[in-house]
Amino acid sequence: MLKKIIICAYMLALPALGYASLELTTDHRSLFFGAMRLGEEKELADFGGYHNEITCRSTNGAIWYLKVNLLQPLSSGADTIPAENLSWQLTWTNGNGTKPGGAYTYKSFSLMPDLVYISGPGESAGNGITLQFKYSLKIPEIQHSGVYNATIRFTLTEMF
Amino acid sequence: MHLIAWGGFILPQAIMAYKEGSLLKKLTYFAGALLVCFLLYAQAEALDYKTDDISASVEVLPTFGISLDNLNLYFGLIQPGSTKILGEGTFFNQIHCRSNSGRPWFLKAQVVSLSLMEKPYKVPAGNLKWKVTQCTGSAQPAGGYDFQSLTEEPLLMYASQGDDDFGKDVVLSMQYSLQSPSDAPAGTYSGQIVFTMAESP
Repeated sequence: MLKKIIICAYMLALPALGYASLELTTDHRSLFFGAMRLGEEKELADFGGYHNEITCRSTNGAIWYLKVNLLQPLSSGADTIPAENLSWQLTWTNGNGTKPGGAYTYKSFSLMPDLVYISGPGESAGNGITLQFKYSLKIPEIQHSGVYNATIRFTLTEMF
Repeated sequence: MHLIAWGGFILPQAIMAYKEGSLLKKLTYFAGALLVCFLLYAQAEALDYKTDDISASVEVLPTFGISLDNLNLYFGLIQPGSTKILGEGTFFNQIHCRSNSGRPWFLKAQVVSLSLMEKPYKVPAGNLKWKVTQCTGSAQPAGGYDFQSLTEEPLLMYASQGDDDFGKDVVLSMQYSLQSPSDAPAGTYSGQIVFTMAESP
């Protein structure tokens, strides 16, 4: 009897491993600000008020949260544009979770991950939560001319 | 989370069966327990976090330019032998220079003849002077903050330094002085001052 119970338990446990998942998908729309002059400010919000969107999905029943950070400031050789000159704003989500970064206001990027969203009740059952973002960049008044590049990282983490 | 609960249920049962069973059963249960532990560990690792990266780029355009306000230096009527100053007390006009190429630049000035319009008579270039009264740049004006005589050859007014090469708006507030020669014929005089901003080679 005990053996049967254990075998059943194994059989139930193994398929369950396949169903549990945590997914983060982006539309990979890069932030191309184009050519800008000293002191100029530009917003990227091409698609009806947003620039790109992130979808988070979890089936583990646990609370998850989304963070964002710059891996390095916008850089051109040894020259950099301060991280705080680049900002993000969550413009829309179909989720009902918490937005610690402030809802619908610009927040400066930093090299340390900033909390964007914490999942709400019922958002860990496999339903995709979509978050739309727009971005803003201000070129400092004193800045060497050149092409500057940076990488933005979104991180989806689950609480155990 | 529910997998951990399953593990919590399975493992004690397996341990109990392990204690009671034969060597073959013990090995089977042990292998099963190891498999479950491995899968739980692998699952926990896999669910820890996910990342996705997006690139960002911008081109900061080059700027290199000079601008002047109040372009007409009108000294009005001057008695022969007397001196008149434009912008006394503050400044007469301002010269704005801006470059973000990262290369040093300089500003020079020269006079292109101050001549009597009616007769062939020229006021010596040195009688016309300039003075920087204020400067927002990182360096000091080449002639300090005193009157400097203009010449017909370009004369250094300012050489950039530090942030001046990376887009700082360098503003020089200017005064001008003209001394009329005592033997200057009456009439209207006209001339030109040329300011040149150039990058150092």
